[in-house]
Amino acid sequence: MKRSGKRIMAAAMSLAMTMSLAACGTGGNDSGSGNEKEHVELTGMVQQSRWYSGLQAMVEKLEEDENISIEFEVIPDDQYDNLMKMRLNSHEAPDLVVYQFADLFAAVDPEEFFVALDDEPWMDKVIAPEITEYNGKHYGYCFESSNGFQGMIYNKDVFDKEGITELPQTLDEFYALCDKLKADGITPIAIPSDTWVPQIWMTSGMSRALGTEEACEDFANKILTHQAEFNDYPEMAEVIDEYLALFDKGYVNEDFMTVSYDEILGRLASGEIAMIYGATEILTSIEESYPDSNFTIFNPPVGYDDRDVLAYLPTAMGIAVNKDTENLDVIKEVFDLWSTPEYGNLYFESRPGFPNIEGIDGNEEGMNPDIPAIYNEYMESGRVVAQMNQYIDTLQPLFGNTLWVYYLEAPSKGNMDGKAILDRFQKDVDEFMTEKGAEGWT
Amino acid sequence: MKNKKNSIYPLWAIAPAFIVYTIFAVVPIVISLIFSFTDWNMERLYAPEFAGIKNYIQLFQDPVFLKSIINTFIFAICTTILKTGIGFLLALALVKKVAARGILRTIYYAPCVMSITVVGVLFKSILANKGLLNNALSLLEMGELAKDWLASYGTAMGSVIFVETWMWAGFNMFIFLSGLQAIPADYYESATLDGANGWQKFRYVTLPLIIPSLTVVVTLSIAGGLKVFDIIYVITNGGPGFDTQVLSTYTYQSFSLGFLGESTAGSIILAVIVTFISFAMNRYFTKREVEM
Repeated sequence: MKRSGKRIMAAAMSLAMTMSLAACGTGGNDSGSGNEKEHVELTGMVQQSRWYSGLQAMVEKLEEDENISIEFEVIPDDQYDNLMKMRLNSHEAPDLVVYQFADLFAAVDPEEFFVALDDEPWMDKVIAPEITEYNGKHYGYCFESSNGFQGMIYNKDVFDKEGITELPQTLDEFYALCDKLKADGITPIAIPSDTWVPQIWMTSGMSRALGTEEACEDFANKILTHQAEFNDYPEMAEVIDEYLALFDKGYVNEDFMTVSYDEILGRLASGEIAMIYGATEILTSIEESYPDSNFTIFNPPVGYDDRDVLAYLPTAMGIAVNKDTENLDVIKEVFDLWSTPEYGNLYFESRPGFPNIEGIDGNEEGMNPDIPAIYNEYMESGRVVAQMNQYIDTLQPLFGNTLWVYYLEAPSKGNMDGKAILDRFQKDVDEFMTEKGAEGWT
Repeated sequence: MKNKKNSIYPLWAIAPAFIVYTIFAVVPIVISLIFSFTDWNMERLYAPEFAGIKNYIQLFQDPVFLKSIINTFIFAICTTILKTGIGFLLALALVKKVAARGILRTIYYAPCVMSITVVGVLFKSILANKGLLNNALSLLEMGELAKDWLASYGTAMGSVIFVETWMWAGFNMFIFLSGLQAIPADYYESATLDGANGWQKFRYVTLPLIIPSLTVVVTLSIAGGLKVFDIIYVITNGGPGFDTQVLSTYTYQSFSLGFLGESTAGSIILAVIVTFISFAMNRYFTKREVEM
């Protein structure tokens, strides 16, 4: 009885396996016969944080309609730069490389690795061609014309509940607002342990402290050619000191060394914390994750910026085409399709933004109305400056590995002020630029 | 000549293993050693130049690197002691015919078959400021003991040591169990006839005969502890600040910056430390092994 039971089981298992294999085979044939176009598979690499649902929707539609699939390798952000450089250098990179433009040109030489796309029909419809331009040629397809601007994102419901109707215009007013929130048991400012968030205070603040594009360019030029050091500009340390003062005043969540960005967003949505210094991109993410929440943004007053300047992000996510690709014609066809509203609108369905191709709907009605209002107000009055990371992007590999860690370590240990942080970072810069063999260090 | 005739297998039989090992272990190590003396950088991927011992000097001048060496030793020593001690105690307890012995062995062994990333994420949430541990302490009215466990050096380092021990003590238990089960019962009977008490049997029978297992456990633990990367990377990522940075995470960070020569030099230093200490420990314990 026992043996026959085993036999029955074995036969049943075999049957089940055979049927599942047959089912797999049938499924494959069906999908093949259902679409007459020849299947083409492209490869790509994308940072984990930029694997947006909009891009995924575009990829899915492409496969359904055109039988062109793109196998994107989703890579953790901190490993992305090196992997990208190594694969490009060893000619093993995928067909498509997703990156932030024009930061890409600081990381690798586009003339050596990427295909210029100047002759493509959709180029005439590009709104901000300068983002992908390098030595007069254009090396990418960008979805957005800008990533927006940086500012203080706040929970409007919390402000309403606290009776705060007027936004602060001076640093003292801002401190008074924080004191009021703190007194009522609400943590005024959120800082997570993800170092790219607190650094926004500085990348925004340093540009605002210098005030103009010209001053920022001059500063960056001197820093990157070793004609000057960070502490030759006392306002840079002042920016950091003002950020550190927030911790001394008790305005920041106590667990800033360990709490994750995702958890912080949850606390902001619940009203436990009132504000976070971020960017319009973060505001969009919060609204996407917490659709019932009521968030908006303002340019916070700071002690080192009398003109009330707005720091914006002249960058946008885009795709560069590997010169080694064997599927260039297919890729051009893909970009042609993606530049039509049918595909392009998908990108902005869940994340409203500023499209880079004319005719594509950025889903402005879904966008927080304060974003275009603030952006236009500052743009029209000429009080805008790009964030500092943009000017000194040659030092980009150092940011996440050293400088941004110092920004988080200093308030925790209380062992460094702004000047000490910049002194320490200057040593990293010296070592990095010497290693690179950069002009001014050799 | 005589040896050659007496050998069971021909010499060429080792060729496959020799070739594979040479290509995938010896050659990379030699190449790494050479590159550690160059200014190899992501910017000069194909044109490194000889730089002498510059990379080594730079490493030893960096306080974070020196701290990472100290952290590596602290981690390796603490985890080796704990994993070995706890593993041995578990083996002594579960070698006896106790109830649910099989289930208990499985439970203690289970953590080491789990993905380190899963374990890391799990403990990160347990140890978070508003995590399971602090909530449990509050429920037990011991809220004053609650703290942000991963936010300061002592508790962060202690936490990763604890997690590593939790994961691998059960694995060591199995090695000790196999050693304990291999000890012939006659020895204990003989000792009993000679009037030995429990402690004397443990000291003069069990301990000397378990030394081969101890050699394996200590060598694996110390080498694993010195090479640690994943658990630190997942739980603290070398933080807070650079406080729990160990040699592997430092080398990885150096690589991330594109300092390929310097990170290769860091790897060579790590390899030398691991090799030297593992061999020394192995030699020390092997000398104390007793033939059964």
